[in-house]
Parts: sequence; structure tokens; C-alpha cells
Amino acid sequence: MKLRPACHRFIAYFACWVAVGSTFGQDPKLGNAWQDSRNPIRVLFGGERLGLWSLQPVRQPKLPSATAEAANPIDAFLDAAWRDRGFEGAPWMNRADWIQRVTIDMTGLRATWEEVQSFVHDESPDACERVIDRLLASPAYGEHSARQWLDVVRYSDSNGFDWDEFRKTAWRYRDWVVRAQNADLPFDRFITMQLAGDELLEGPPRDQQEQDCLIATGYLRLGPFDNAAKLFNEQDRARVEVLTDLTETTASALLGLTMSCCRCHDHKTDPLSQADHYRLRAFFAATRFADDQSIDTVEAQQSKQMHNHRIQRQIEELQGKIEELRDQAKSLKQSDPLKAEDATDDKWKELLGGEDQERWLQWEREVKALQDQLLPPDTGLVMTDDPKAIDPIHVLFQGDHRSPREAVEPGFPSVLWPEAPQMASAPTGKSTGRRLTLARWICSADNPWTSRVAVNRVWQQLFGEGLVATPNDFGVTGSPPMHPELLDYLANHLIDREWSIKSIHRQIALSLAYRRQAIPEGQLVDSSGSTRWTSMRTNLRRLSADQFRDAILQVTGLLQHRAGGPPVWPTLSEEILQANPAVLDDNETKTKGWYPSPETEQSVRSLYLVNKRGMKLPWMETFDQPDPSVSCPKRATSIVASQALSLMNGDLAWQGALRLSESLTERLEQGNSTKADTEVSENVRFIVALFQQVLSREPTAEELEQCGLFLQQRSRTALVLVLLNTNEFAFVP
Amino acid sequence: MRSRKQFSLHPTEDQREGNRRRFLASLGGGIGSLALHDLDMRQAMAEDRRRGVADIDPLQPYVARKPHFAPRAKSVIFLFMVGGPSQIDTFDYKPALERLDGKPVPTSIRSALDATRHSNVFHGCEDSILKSPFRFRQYGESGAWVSDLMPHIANHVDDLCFLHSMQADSNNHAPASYQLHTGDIRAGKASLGSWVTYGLGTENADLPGYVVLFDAGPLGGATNYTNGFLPPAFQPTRIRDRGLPVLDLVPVEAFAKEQREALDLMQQLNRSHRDRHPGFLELDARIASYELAYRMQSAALEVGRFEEEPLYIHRLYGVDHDDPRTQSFSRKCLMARRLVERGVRFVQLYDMPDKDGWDAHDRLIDNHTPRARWTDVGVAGLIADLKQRGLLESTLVIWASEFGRTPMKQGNSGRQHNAAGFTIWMAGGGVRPGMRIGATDELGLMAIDRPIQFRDLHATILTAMGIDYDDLSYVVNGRDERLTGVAGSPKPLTDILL
Repeated sequence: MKLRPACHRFIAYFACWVAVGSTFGQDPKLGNAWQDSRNPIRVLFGGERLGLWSLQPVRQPKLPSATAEAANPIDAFLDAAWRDRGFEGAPWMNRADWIQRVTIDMTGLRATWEEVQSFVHDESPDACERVIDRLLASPAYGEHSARQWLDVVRYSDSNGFDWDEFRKTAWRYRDWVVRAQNADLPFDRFITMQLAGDELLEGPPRDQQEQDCLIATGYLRLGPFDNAAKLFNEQDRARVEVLTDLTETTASALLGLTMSCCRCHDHKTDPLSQADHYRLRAFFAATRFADDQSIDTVEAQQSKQMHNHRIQRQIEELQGKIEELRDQAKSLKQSDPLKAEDATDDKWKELLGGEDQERWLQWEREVKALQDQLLPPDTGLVMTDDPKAIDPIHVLFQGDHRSPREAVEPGFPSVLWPEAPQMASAPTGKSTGRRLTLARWICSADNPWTSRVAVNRVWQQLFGEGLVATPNDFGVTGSPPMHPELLDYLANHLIDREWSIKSIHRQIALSLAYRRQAIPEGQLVDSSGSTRWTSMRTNLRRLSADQFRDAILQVTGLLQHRAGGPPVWPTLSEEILQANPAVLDDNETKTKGWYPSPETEQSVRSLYLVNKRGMKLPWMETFDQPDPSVSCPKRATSIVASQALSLMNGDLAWQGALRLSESLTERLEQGNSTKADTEVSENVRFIVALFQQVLSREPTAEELEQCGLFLQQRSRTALVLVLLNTNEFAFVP
Repeated sequence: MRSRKQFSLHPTEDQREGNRRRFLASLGGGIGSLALHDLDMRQAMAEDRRRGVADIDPLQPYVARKPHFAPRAKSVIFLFMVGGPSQIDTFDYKPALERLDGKPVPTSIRSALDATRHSNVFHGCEDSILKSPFRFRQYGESGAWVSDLMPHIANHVDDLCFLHSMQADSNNHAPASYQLHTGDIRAGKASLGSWVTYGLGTENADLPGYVVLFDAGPLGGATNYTNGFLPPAFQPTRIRDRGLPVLDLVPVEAFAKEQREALDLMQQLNRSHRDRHPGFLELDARIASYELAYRMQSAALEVGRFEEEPLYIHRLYGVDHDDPRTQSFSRKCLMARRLVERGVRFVQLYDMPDKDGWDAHDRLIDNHTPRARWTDVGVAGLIADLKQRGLLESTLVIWASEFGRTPMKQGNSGRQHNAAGFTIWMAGGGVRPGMRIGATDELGLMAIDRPIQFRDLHATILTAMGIDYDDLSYVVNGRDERLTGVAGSPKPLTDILL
């Protein structure tokens, strides 16, 4: 590798490292940038940039004096802040809206009419609490929370680039995330398993928890991968891209640090140097794809072994019998032996003829059938280390892998941790322990970013916007926290509750702040002009692509339960499939084509739909599904005409409308309709049932009239379609 | 619980303005990195740089916006030849190949290339030069050389501006193609068409601003033409040249006659819902989107009515050609003209009829001959038609691919990818006609005179559109993303602009 002279900036930076090593040889331990004037970041930026809020340790803020109303600490903080600024909390939302909001926010599905009714009439003081606990315990919670996380870690079922090969086992990671959310796996454990699950194990996994440690490392494999690069001698580039992606995704997803900004040069605004990017990257330097490695538990391995052994014996037995026939055939030809190339099994069979030939063929079929019964080891999209092949990590001039500069060793951001860390050792010794070291530091209580970033994501899930509005950027160019003390309170709370994410959900959902109406732009005045309202919920959020599709399937009765497993492939027209020519080039291993699932199994939650980088599903694309190539901290929402076309004319809404109008009509007919029922009152009953089913409420008198008039001219199906298209259905209250 | 009915919530004008900005923010920003959260501070910062380009109106994200300076071009038609057509067999005439046929690459040329980041173009091909099997002739007043593969385009060389020294950063399709579309060889960035509509909106509110046309898409799939990190409003719409132009454009038959009344009822319900939730612009936006969708149905149907075009136009484009693949590409060219004529901002057109494109690793003649036949007449027809309608002045036409091909042989008389030097051309939209810039070495292997990178091309296109390429940015994870990249300075080709 050619090393070119370092640029000016570099000399300054590394000179400082060298100076530290030599001049301060006696006392080489460097302190953080606040305390130690020799800290490289302090030197590099002349002591500036150290006031960045997220750099400061998480504090234990004092609770503002709580009022009777604001028993929840969240409300105490918010009320105090609002009072100071002369705002008053926005009016309460009604109970029906609240349960709809909390149900969609926590599970991604709608609260049904029955659920709304039972809550609205529940006058017990802990009614809200019981709703929240019910939702937290429902499997849909894990599915919906997993969706948020999968966006952040750029989950996809394919490689991207030219061939966009299907990743047959990526779903195991998706299912594990769902399991982990539902089981409320402590967040520090959740992170450690993803970064270094393999380094936690002493050998083959002994149980499902240990197997999950391997599956979780799928996180390290989820990024795009240019599998064709080696054909053009560009495998070095592809490898560097994997490392770049891991560094940048890990920094933004777990730490809120924008390491992409300091890949090519020192960070423009944050106290991060270019070397910090590569120090972080060095933790991944020994990573190797391990997609072929067995992830079976010891028990599964043994039982597969026994099973395969038994099958193998049967195969051998049959092969022995075949061998006898072969010998028999050969003996027939002893006097006049065949030429070597003619001495094939086909020839021998022919020679035997009759029953023997039949038996031979039969046994061959049996062998084939037995071979199909052999159980291969389960594999996953997983990563491991090769301690014998650690990529040397260099600072790359302008981020270009062809311009390596100084070599660097693994290290955390030098502003706080300038010294090389003590490396953890992996139990097996087959791994470098680098990723485990990284994971332990990320999950350590004195890391100022991890817990803040984590609780902020939960806040965003429930309020639509985080306390820090830029969840992947806790730096200078990101947003400062709206209520810094509240953020720190929650961050502490997370650690105190043993990193229980559900406890944060619960705490936030129980707050009074969560019961207030959304108020645009945080301030409206009442008619007297004297009161200025504010709310943490400042927008009405349109359902995401996933939520919208799921909601339509749910209310129309089409939604099918699916307990994980390989992704579901929707049927797409040839014409749509042509969007990616790779799909037209199906291959033997079945990774490049399109493999539609049975039509009867496609109405599952959107989480389970295949998500290929090179082939977007039309509905998902139209409703703003993010590109899974990079971490998506928050879904963007557009409101454009193509969505209206899709909802008015597309198959999903239309099929749903047909189904629901039929099933409601059938239900009404089975009800106690009497001859006295006129067509009008039948329509009224239909409209009421429809509003209950779709909007989980009854129609107002005005709506009843409007819809009644419509039904005099037009079909019930059309009316269902109208309701599926309304703003009320499209937005979270 | 207090009922909300006790209060009447009337937003003041100021609040409406704040509200509008907040929603705008929720879309992700205006031109030039408008931030959402700490809006005031950021706006002050952004103000200097935005130079009078209007904010994006959330109710009409596509409304035409004022450029930074007087534009030369109003629309773009990007003709993407998928897979890497060979420059030395089309527009980059190299007589030396004749003499060197079958010989190894001269040492001086080889070592010059070896010293660059492009040394891997030797990977996978033989060290044996393959002369062009096609005959070249000179055309027009400019005397440009064009091979017999492109007899129709050849007649328009005086309208074209050739860039003979293009380079890409990867020698593989998807990364190089991503780079030509988005400025980056990695996936996840925003495409040129998204950037341009983000910056300028579009001139016809009833049609999508950014349209893609293809039978099969480019290698690397949808990642090429995606909006990436830009707000989803700037994603492309695929328009088809046969059947219904847009997916889900019209209602299923059973619902067709009910649609208008259904829409009216829906909007009634939506309006009462909005009255219960005053001040939320997202509700207004969605109400408006349905009216637009309704208008779009007829506008999009209208744009697909090729039968309106006279016979001589059909002939000019080759819509009536014997070869169905020529017909298909010609229809797309005609569609492109009908779209820009109606104010569509950006048309991205792919020539991919199947899964391979111009990727002639083997048997160059068998690959290139039909592909040239399928595209030559349509492209030439488009240039001629735009010109006769006076649309060429305001429409920038670009003919390009992700890379070219090597003069070295691969397989059975094929050629390997070549990102070290290849040719593209531009026409109209304020580009000087009859011009040629840059040059490759005597083999057509590597750009040696004025190498041009995709970021230079992007800067040139944006400049032609009246956009300051440095000001067109969007904040992603703390970083101002630009089409022209965050590292390295683009050099717009100002000398080719009128």
C-alpha cells in the first residue's frame, strides 16, 4: 500500500499525537478535552466545540415541584417549562381519540369500535393504564416497534446493486427484532447482541437465546453489498463501502453522531476528527460474512445429526442393494466387457432388464427421496470475525480507499476517550473482541449518547417528533433538545429500569401531555385571545405506508396473522417487475427473480412483505417507504396526487371495499331484519355499521344524511371506498 | 375532561404562516437546506445562500419556482443508454485502431492508465486491440465523425455537443450508473430528476414533474432514479407509452361512473373533519391532492393520445417502424416530447428493451447493431421535432450511459466496460451546437484531454437550468448533501453553454 505525504492538517493532528507520546512519555494518559489541554480534539479545534450539549454527561435533573395534576415527572417538566413561557397545555382530547392515538402509536393498528366503546365507558381510574398494558403485551406492539428499528438499521431483504440478490435468511433478524421488542429485551443487551452477539458465545449456541446472539449480528450484514464488484477487481471498494456503512450507521443509529461528515475531513462543526471516523471503523476491521456457518443450537445439531445418520444408513442400505445388481449385471458381461465409457449405470440397467431394472429404478427413486429428507444446518445472515485477517485501517485521504494515510487503531471519539481502549476478549478466542469492546462502551452508563438517543426514538414514536427533532444527529447541526432536562430524566430512567424500553413507552403514554390535543405549531389562542396553547403533538401524522396498508386490511377484515418467517412476496405485474432487469435474469439459486407467494397468503402486515433494494412495491413506494440503503431515523411524509389515485383506483382499497361491503351487508341480513325494514333504514344500519368498522365511531346526524343520500344513487362498495379515503382514516389523531 | 367545543380555535395570520412553515419543514425543507426545528436560526443562515429561490409550498410542492438566475433550459430529457455503448464504435472515431488491430495495447498508453484509478479497466479483457467493425463518416458543417450505427443521429451532429472525455468512478454498472444519476457510487442518494424538481417544481400542475419512461429499468434498479433522501414528493412517476399512462390512473370499471360523486362526498366529510381540526395544513393538502388526482386522470390520458399526432410525426420518430422494439423506443421519445411540451420538468428515458442493454462483453456486432437500430431513429426524430417546434432551445437533451467500452477485446469479439474515457452528447437547452470538447488517447481508452467527471456534468446541467449547483442542497444527518457531492469541486463546462 502506497502511503503519500500527509496533508498539512494531518501533520498538525498527528504531530500532536506524536508529541504526546514523546514529550509526555512519563505520563502518557490523555484525559478528555475539557480537562486535558493535550487532548487531540482540544488541540485540533483550539479548545472550541466542547460546549455541545450531547457531549455533557447525562445529568440527574431535579424534578420541578410537581402539582397534583402533574404527578408524572414528564408532565412536571413540561408544565414547568410551559408555565415559564406563558403557555398552557392544549385542551384534552376525547377518550375515543386517545385510545385511537395510543393504539396506532404502539401497535401500528387501529383500535376497533369495541375497544373504543369499552374504554370510553370504563370509568375506573386505571382505565388508561390497563389499555397501555394491554397494548404493550400484544404481539402487534413488537411488530410495530420492530418496524421503527428496522428503518433505523436500513433493513432490506436484498443486496442492492446490479443483481440485487435476495437474502434468503435476513428475515431471521427481522423476527428476532420482533421477539426482542415483545420480550422487552433490555436495550443494552439488544445493542450488544447486534454488535457482538457472536463474541458472547463460548461455542455453538446452547439454546434459542444463544442462537439469537448469532442472528442478531445480522445488523452488521444489513447494509447494501456490491456482490459484482469482484468481477471488475473492485472488491476493495466494496469492502471499504461495507466498513463505511457500518461505521456511519452505528454512529448515527446508536450514538446520534454524524460520522459520515468526518470520513473525508475533520468534522465541520462537531468535536470529531477525521481520525475518529477511522478509529471507530477499526472495531469492524476483522469482520467476515458468515452466511454459510451453521446457527443451529447444540440440541438441534444433535437431533439433525441423529436424523441424518438414520437416513444415511437407509441410503447406504439401498445403495448396497443397487451395488449387488450392478455386480450382477457386470457378471453378465464378463466374457465381453464393455468399454470404460460405456460402462454406465444406464447400460447396466438396460442389460438387466425386466424386474431387476424396475427394482433398480425404484431404489434409486427411494434414495433420491431419502436424500431430500436430509436436514441441512440452519444458516443466517450473520457476521463473525477472522482474527487472522484484520484489515489494516488507515485514515483515507478524502475518504478515498486508494489514498491511505496514517494507520489507526480502534478507539472511541477522542474528545472524551482519547486513549486506546482495553480490548475485551471473546470467550472462544476465535474472535478479536473488538466489537464486544465497542458494544460495552456504547452500553456503558457514562456514554452520554446511547440512552439519550434511545429514549428520544421512543418519544418520537409516540409524539411524532423527538425531543431532539434530528434523532440521528445529536451534533451542532442537529436540533438541540426541546426539554433537555426531561430528556436526561428519561435517559436515566431507562438505565434505572434496566434498559427496559417498554417502561419508557409506558411512562410517556401515561403522561397527561400525551392526552392533549395536537395543536399546530405549538400555539393557538382561544377566542378571547388570552390563552396560548401548546402541545407536544404539533402535527397530525398521516399513516405510514405500512400502517395505511395494514389499517385497510384490518378494517376490511382481510388482515391475516403471520408469525414471522420468510418474507411474503406480493404478486406484481410483469411490467412492474421489469423496473429491475436483474429480476428478468432469474438464476438457479433463486435469488434474482421474483417469487410471488400464494395469493391467499399475501394479506399480512406490511412488516412481512419482501423489501428489496432494487424493486419497490408500488403501494409502499407511493406512500413514502424510505430507501433502505441508509439509516432512516424518521419517515418523511408526502401528500401527493398519486396517493389519491392509488387509494381511489388501486387494487388494495378496491378489494377491501368490496369485501367489507359484502361482509357488512351479510351481517345485517343475518341480523334481525324484519319486513318493516325499508331500504332506507337498511342503509342507515349499513352506514352506522360501516362508520363503526372503519372509523370506530358512529356517524353524526349530518354524516348519516350525506351518506344516506349517496346510497340512494350509488353503491355500498363506493361508500366503503369513500370512508377508506377520508382524512379521518388517514391521520393519527 | 374539558370538551374542545368550549373553545373556538382561530389561528391568526401569523400562526397560519408559522404553520405553513412547520409543514414545509415536515416535508424536509426548501431549496437550500431549510431547517425545520430551530427554524428561525437556520432560516437566517440559509437566507444568505438561497438567493431568492422561493420556498416549497407544501400544498403545491410542484409549483414552478424561480431559478437562481436566468435559465437556459426549462426542461430536461435524459436519454439513458443502459449498459455502456462503445464510444469507439459510435461517436469517438479512432483510426489508429485499424492499424493496431490484434496487437497489444502500446506500453505508453498502458502505463499511463496503470498510474490512474482506472487501471482495473484492463481486468477481464485480453491485451489485444479490436478495431471497430463499423465504418465512420464525417457529417454536417462541423464534420463530426459518426459510425454507420447511427445514420439518423448523424444527420443532426450540427445540433449536438459531444463530450469525448467522460470518466466514472467505478467500472461496474450499478455503482457507475448510481453515480451518473445521483452523484455517488453508493446507493441511497437522490437522482438528478428529483434534485431538479425539488429545486424548480414543474410547469404543469396536472402532470407529475419528474417522469421515467422504460420497458425495463436501468441496471441497479429503482435506486438509480429514486428521490433518495429528498422529500418523497420528488419521487419519479413512471409513465407508460401504451395502455394507461399511469398506474391506477382510472377507477375500476364498476366504480367509474360513481367516482365524481364519491369524491364529492369524501370532500364533504373531509371538510367537516377539518373544521374539527382547524389549522392543520396537512388536511388541506390532502383535500387538494384529491382534486389534483382527479384532474391528473384526464391530463395523463390526454398526454398518451398519440393518435392526435399526424402521420409524418409518427414516421419522423419511427413509431411506425417494422421492428417492434424500435416502435417501443420511438413511442417513448414521442412521449418525452409530449411531456415537455406540456411543461413536465424532467423526463428520464431508458432504452432498455431487455435485461442486457449495450453490455457487449461478447459479439459486439450482434449486440450493438440491433440496439442502434432500435434507438437511432427515435432519438434523431426527437431532436428534429423539438427543433421544428422551437422547443429545443428550452429543452436540454442528454444522451449518455454509465460508461463506454474498451478498445481491448473481451470474449468472442466483445469489449469490456470502460470508465476511463467515453463519450456522451448534449443538445439544446442553451448548449452550444456543433461543438466537441475533451479527447481520449489514440485508442479511445482513457480521457487525456480535459477529463470530465459526472459532477462536472451535473454542475453543467444545473447551471443550464438556472440553478446554482452549490446552493442546491439538503441537510441529511447534519450534512449539506448536494448533487455535485460534498467533496471535490465540480467544474461546470461553462464554455459549452451559450
